[in-house]
Amino acid sequence: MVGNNAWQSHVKNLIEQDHPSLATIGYELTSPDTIDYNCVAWAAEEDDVWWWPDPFLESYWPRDVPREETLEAFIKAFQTLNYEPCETSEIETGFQKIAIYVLNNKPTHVARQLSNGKWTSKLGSNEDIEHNNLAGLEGDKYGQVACVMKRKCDI
Amino acid sequence: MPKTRKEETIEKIFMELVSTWKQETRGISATTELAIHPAYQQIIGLGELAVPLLLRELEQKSGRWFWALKAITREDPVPPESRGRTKEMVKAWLEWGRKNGYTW
Repeated sequence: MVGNNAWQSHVKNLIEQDHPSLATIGYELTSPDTIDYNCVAWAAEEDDVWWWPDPFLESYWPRDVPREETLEAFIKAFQTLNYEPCETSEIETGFQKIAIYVLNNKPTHVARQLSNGKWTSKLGSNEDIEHNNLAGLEGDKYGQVACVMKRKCDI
Repeated sequence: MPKTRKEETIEKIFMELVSTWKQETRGISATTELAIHPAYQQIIGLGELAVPLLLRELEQKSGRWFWALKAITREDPVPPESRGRTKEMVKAWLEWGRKNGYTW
């Protein structure tokens, strides 16, 4: 368990205010908060870089990928890691998946699937969570899953 | 050196803005959205007196204050290859702060 009970209770209240579906769908906290990385980096399996196509050139973004807050740019970013769009978020043996959320046509969040079929997400500068499905983070804050991508993996 | 009344007032306003910003940007990964939040913009508006406060916040890793520092100081000590690499960015700014005589 990450943190003590009081911390967990406090943080879960905050998370569920933003993502009410999580309480029913099920999730657990898997890290304390850190500004070192964000959801996109975590989906790319990095925990020391902040990924985002910001115009200030403050964050990391793959070279040669348009520095735009568009679904197309995010798809291209993950194509640099050998991901390709796929049809389903169901777990597939031999493949690793990520899911891109979009709100008002802008990407907001990326989640990564674990080998147990659940998903892991870094919530901005805040905590990592493991959530039972993608719907847990769909809603007013992150929007809806717009694209699931997969790549071959050794697992 | 004891703080002036103005510095104390600025620090009080700054801390309130930091608290508001952290509460209202919880869970957000979009660098752009973090930086254009009204509280973040008001912190930039505090100007040079906010610089040591921002460096202190950065050292405590309370938030990604890089854009605010860049906007106020009009400098950028972060080398291009370190963009996004948080620990390296923090180190670059803290070293810049010490080199330019800031204490926090």
